[in-house]
Amino acid sequence: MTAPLKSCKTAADGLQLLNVSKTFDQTEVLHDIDLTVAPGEVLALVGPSGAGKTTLCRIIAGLETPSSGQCYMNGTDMTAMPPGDRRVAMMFESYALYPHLSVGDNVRSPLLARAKGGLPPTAGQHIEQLLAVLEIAHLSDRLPSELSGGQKQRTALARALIQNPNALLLDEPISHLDAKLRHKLRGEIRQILNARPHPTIWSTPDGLEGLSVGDRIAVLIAGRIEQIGTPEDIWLRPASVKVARLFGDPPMNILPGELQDGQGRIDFHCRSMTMTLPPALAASAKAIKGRAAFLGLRPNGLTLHRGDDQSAIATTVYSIESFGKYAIVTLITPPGDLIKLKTADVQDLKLGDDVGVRYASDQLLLFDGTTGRAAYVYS
Amino acid sequence: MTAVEFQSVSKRYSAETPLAVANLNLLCREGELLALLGPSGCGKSSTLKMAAGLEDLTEGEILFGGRPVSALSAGRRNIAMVFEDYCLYPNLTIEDNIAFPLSVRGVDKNERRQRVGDVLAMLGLHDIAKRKVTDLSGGAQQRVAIGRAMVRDPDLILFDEPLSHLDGDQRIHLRAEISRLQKTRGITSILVTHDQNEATAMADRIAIMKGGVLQQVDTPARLYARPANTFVANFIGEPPMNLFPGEIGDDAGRITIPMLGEDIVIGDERRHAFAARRHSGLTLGLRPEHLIVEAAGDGAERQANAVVTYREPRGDADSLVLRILRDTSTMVAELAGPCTFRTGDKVRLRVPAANTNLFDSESGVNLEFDT
Ligand SMILES: Nc1ncnc2c1ncn2[C@@H]1O[C@H](COP(=O)(O)OP(=O)(O)OP(=O)(O)O)[C@@H](O)[C@H]1O
Ligand SMILES: [Mg+2]
Repeated sequence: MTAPLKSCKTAADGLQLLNVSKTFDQTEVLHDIDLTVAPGEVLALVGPSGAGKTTLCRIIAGLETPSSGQCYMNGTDMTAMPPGDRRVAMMFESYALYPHLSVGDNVRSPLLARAKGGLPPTAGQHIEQLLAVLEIAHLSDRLPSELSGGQKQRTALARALIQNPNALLLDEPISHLDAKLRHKLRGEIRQILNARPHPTIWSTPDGLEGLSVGDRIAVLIAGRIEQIGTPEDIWLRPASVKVARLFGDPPMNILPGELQDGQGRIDFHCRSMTMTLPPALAASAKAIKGRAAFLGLRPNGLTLHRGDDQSAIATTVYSIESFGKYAIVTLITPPGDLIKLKTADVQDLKLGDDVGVRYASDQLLLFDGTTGRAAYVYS
Repeated sequence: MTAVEFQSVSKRYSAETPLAVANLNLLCREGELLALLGPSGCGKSSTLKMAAGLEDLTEGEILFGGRPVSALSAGRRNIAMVFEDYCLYPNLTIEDNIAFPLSVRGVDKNERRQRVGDVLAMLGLHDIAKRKVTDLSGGAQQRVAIGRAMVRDPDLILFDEPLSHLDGDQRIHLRAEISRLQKTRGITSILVTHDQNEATAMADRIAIMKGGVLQQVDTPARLYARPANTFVANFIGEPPMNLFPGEIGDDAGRITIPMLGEDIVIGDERRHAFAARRHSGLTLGLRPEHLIVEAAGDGAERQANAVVTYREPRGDADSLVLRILRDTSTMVAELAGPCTFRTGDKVRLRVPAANTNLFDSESGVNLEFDT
């Protein structure tokens, strides 16, 4: 669901892309992208690997030319502007550090490129502070070849964050770090960005990271924007099966099946079960034109039951992955559908056990089986 | 199948820098998948590169199946490697890249086709098997590299961040497939990763390192429930475990938490852990999902002791950063999401005694850790 911007004028402030497409050797990698990022806003660009995130960032930075469409910065068309004039800071997924410069000099380099008569006296202190936040202050004199993978990534991140650009593009900025440092840096970088006047795009293949850092999230799949919305929008009302599969650990279970009209009710029928849709879902089912539908089952909306239970889906335990605070149990139905369930308690559950699965009716979603788009009724 | 043993292994890159790996004694058992986990720069990749023969040892020895290997070059160790930046042959198709190690070893055509077919199917690459690898995204290239390592049943597979460029869905799929294959074929494997979920999902045991020094080797469940020290406690688990001071009160197991102005009582069965330590400092550890957060106000009834300073939505869970009113220290809580608390909300925090871990504040050692 792209915001309907085509007819309206360009946004006066911030970054805006209008109808941007990009084709490499006859393959369209970006299709008709419309996007605005307001000053001070962080837009999380979430998409699987190969979706076009990096290409989109490179177009904004001026390193690629769009095949069609425009980029605006604060109302000015910069589509044809050379990269050096755009003042767009970009952190590359591949880091792109200068191999002959130390960590400190790598970080200093964009400031030097800009400063006419030397660096302002506060620059050194800013760099030091930033390196300290990123926990690489002690590596300031090292060369990139003497760094671990995560240390290189943080050097590249520092080099991007030290600038005061018109727009900041972070391409997978913390993908190489451990959970603890990622948790810390998500918060700290957000605070740094909160105080900044420029728009920021933070690209990541990790849906949960997108939910955490974005004021809004744009979901890019196979070169198209599938949905733009707040973290709550995306989580509670994913626009399509593809979006639903990108968010959540594990992602939502999707069962293909068909709708069957009964007396005063609609059933969802698939090879593993038949279920009468709860009223809210039955109402949204009306928006589905054909009979084909996907039922989405959230892994944390499912519960396990032993013994005979007519209302439960019959399954067998296929695998158990224990994560400390929760476990992911994969269940297999007799016809062979896999269903993942997230639970705090797997005591005395064993591989091969026969168990029933019940679902909370407010944790179900329905999608059009032909288009994959979500069917919602808004009250 | 080979066990891998690191015996007093150290690595120093240059005279000016500290040891990247310090006196490492570690056993990866036959058929086991052992994960190396730790903060960025702690020496995981260095350890793996020494096993691979890509870096020399400064001290110590590495044994494969009881035999020292430090004199053997990488090519003579019968190992397969999947590194983050491991290169494929750009001019070959996916299929030919995967078949390459078999062709080199003169495996006959039928068997080759069979084994390559299995791997292609497992990795979901069947439909694009004839494409050049240069046309693939980073994630797909990595799957080809994994396939190439798996295809020839090596004694040992070394993985360095194999999944770090994949998106969530692919990652979860691939980690399950790698571990299924690893288990069924029983290939001894060492996995370096920064992602604890990946380590937990895939590994039989996890070795935690910090600054080149091994901290604990244990099953994922034990690491989570009984971390050996405050470092491991705070490193494992997302968000990290809260660590805060406690003061041992009376003999009845009462512990005062000064920052909350609250007491908790540790049950009889755990009291022995600190019975003898009346006057030394205690650090309490509590996982964010165990911290109890209740709405509160300024009144005497349920008086607030903290304020929400930051809320991070994580889908089915939200994490809250909380500033303690008494001393402005912070704690992190995790609640089912999306939750109703917002930045600025005043709340009352409570610590459930049963879920606490108890550490010595000086050494950081878990008082209830038994090896
Ligand atoms: N070629 C080198 N020369 C000098 N120092 C190095 C070299 N390679 C790594 N180091 C240093 O050795 C230490 C361990 O590095 P290593 O690559 O093993 O870390 P790591 O645990 O894999 O980290 P990451 O998760 O960031 O990849 C780091 O402090 C790093 O800076
Ligand atoms: Mg590494």
